[in-house]
Amino acid sequence: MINLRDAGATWWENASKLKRRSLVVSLVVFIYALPFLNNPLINTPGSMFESVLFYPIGMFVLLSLGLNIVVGKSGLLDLGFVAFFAIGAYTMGVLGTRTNLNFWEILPIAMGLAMLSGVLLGAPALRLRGDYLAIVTLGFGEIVRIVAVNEEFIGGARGIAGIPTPPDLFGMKFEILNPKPYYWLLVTMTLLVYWAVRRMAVRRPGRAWDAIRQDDDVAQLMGVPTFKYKVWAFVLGAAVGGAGGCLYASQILSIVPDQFSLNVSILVLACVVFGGIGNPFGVMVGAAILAYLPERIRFLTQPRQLVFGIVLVLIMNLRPDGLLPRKKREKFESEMK
Amino acid sequence: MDFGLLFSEFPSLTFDGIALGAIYALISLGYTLVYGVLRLINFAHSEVFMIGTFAALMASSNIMGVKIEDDPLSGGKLILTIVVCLVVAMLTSGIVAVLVEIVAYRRLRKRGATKLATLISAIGVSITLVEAFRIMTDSLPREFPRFFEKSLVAEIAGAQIRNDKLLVIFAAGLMMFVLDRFISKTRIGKGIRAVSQDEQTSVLMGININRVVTVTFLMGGLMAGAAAFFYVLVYENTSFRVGFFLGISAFTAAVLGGIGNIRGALVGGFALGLLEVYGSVLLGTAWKHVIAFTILVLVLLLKPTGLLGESIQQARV
Amino acid sequence: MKKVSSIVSAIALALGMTVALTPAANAACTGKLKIAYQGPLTGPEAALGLNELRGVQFAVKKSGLDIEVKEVDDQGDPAVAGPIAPSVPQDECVVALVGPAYSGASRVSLPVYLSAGLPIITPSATNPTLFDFGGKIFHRAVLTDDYQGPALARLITSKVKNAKVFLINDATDYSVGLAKLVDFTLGSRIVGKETTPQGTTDFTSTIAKIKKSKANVVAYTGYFSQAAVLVKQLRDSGSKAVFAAGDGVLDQQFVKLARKAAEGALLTAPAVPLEAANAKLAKEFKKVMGVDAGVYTTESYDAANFFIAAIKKGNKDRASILNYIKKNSHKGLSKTLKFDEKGEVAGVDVNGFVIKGGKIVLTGAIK
Repeated sequence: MINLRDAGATWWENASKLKRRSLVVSLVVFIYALPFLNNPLINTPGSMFESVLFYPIGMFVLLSLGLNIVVGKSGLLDLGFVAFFAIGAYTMGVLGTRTNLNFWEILPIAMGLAMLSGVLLGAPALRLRGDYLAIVTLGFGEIVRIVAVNEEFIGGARGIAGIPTPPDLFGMKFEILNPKPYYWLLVTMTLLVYWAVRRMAVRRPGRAWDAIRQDDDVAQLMGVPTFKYKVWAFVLGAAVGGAGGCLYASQILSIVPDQFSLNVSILVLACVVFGGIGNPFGVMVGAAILAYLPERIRFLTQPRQLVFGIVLVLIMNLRPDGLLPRKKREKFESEMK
Repeated sequence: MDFGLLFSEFPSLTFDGIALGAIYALISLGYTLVYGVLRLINFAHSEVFMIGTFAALMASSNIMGVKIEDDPLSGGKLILTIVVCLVVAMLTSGIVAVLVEIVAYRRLRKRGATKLATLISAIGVSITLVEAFRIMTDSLPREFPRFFEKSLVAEIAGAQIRNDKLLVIFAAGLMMFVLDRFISKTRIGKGIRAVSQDEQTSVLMGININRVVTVTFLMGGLMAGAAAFFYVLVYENTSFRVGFFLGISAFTAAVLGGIGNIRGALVGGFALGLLEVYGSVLLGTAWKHVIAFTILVLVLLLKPTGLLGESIQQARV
Repeated sequence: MKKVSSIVSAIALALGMTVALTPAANAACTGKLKIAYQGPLTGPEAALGLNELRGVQFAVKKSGLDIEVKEVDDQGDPAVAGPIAPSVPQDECVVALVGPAYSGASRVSLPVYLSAGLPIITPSATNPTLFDFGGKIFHRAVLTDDYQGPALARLITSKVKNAKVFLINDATDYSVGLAKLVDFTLGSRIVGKETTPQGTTDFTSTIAKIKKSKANVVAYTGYFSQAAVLVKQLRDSGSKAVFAAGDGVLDQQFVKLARKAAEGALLTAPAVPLEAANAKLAKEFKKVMGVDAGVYTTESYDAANFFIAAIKKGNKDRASILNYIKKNSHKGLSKTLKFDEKGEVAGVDVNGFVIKGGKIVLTGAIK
């Protein structure tokens, strides 16, 4: 079977610097230009293409990158990622409507709060093993939603309306009818996160996460401060989720707790696994496809989600390692344990 | 915090909590059995339960011809109807669980795929089943006929004992007992325990792993089917979403008791049922899940593998 | 085996691509006008959306005009509505829109429709603040929650002597808002409050609280499916408290699900069931659409008919239809639609209903 990941990696390793650079540049240009490629071939009948590019496609790509640090890099099963997304969105909602702070000032606060909650959850939860972590994070996600529903200070079930848009940037206006600037901002954030994750992956944290994923106990014996790096993975993932939530709230302009249900966590996790767990590039491709598919088949109306479910089962059965899996070598290593 | 109400109504609340817990326990057995053998969270199990409720509904209206507007049944017909509905629900759920294993798990298991791939595959099956039932039922809840008049049969130590809930507790207890005997005494039950202890060695010892896995899913499905029938008997309605709501609680119960441990699932189920009822009285129904999860985290911090610890083999007599 | 699987996966991908390549209908209007309906058509809230969609479809079928009904499925979710809304006015043939069904989705969609000048009449979004989002294109075929909450309170006090009310909401936007207004109007008559989030199936603890509070009325502001579960458990516990609820419960489904337990329940709605408004038409509806009419079917039927009346008068574009519905009135089944400057219907009341003999019986307007 042709392993797309390996074929791509081999090509990449053998390509000249010029070839590599031109590929990267053209890919980035293509992604930024997507809102202009609104044609019947790729657009989404039944919903506005530029808008779909921002949410769900772009947003799920960003969230999956964040979750990939936790699930893919360090192998911790997190079923409550939506909590950080919600915390980011609510920070934007509350501060945006009650203070004079603008989006750029709120963004670091949102990320900081998400990271703080990552520590608060991670400190007890990360002492647990594997699947116990899954249920605890799932519970955390639900708790955040339930608190949002029942807490009047943050709008209760009504949520928060009238969230301000970000101020103009380079002469671009952020408007609900013109999602392009949001999309470009989101792509920029995603590329930054991608770059940061790649940098980290080849340095100490990346090696520590690899070791933890492959064998927690051995890693600890070998002197890797596993708990510390697990919390770090959690916190970094949370920061990405918080940033995504903050931007999302400033685009959708009104948020309600039900937007942050367990389904979002599950969908983001599906994106990570579907794309090829642990491989950030694959994760991004997978997330883009999974978020795009339900919008693309909107003309099916009723059986839309049904088809989505079937596709999920089919692809996982045909490509259990995802569309673009980790390198063979790494996979071999992780199977050796 | 309404402690007064909790104390004054304590016996009745306890009885109701046990009845709710019995249903949780039966569902959580499915999670725990599969986890014990495959070390996987069977995300589609909640849908196995959901389909069981619809099977019970079909059995009552199509096989037994009980109409919604009919008067409560009595005598032989009542017992026959209950038995038929229970058996149909159990069989349907059992078969669906086995099919879920074949569709979502088997191929991945044979290829040695990662846990996460299998998890997503199961989630895919879950989404597919929910959506299929949503479309078939026009997104509407379905009502279930009343088989017998619900009345208070006794008052024990101030607890108001209602007949339907009493039946559920009794029947669920019987099921659990039979399952426990099955796992500990029969050949295939021993196989399940062996596989959950050490898969590779069991295969070397000549255990047919496929058969063990199929039987495990079947058992989990049968229990979920029974839970499904008891659920509609007490609450008299169902919808395509019912699996989602109960699934989370049952899964929590399984982990609370120690996932992979059959008796743990029972303890966890009853504990969660009581916890939810007491918690709702004290802090309001809205906080029910928050209370359950908080207790779960506390328990896991003190006992990292749940109340009774992991794995089926430890549950041996 | 590996070969086979790669071939199969290639085919699966190819199939996926062909699905993805099905062309989108995005051409300029060729003459066949469209009335859009926006609401939840899939997802957990789909029942209400389908009720309304069928009302629109029924109206169009009965009109004899060659109009297409465009289905816009927002799942009742603002997050879904956000990306969809801009695509609706993109189709020039869409000259009017019935919906959005929910207030949350409306908040996101209305600014889009305002900029496109698309006239809309919502049959069920009852949040009082929506005019701020929709401005001149926004109209409402129902009264807002500002009217319904106090009406429910008045219905309770007029039907039950010395009413002591236990108030329950289901933690949804609609339910919490309505409960607040009921709470405000009844004041000291409220003897207890509880929130039971959607999906609650076991009301043991709530019922224990109701009994302890000695309430003789249980007011529930959520939707019908959970109301049925609650009222059944309430009756099974031996409680005789009167059950009262808002328009979320006003659905034949509630009676079907709760059966005897629903007897005597008091309901309010700015809506009128088709059955009560015109029994003959309700029968015809069942025959044509294959299912019973539900809550808000009448309102969306009326809203669609107002648009159809405008089209019949020769108005074939958004601006002239908007102008027509602003200037004229339409005698609908539920009420006469005549909009004030904020797009609200004037001069109508919230109706009271009681469930008697398995039927929802209109008891008349609540004064």
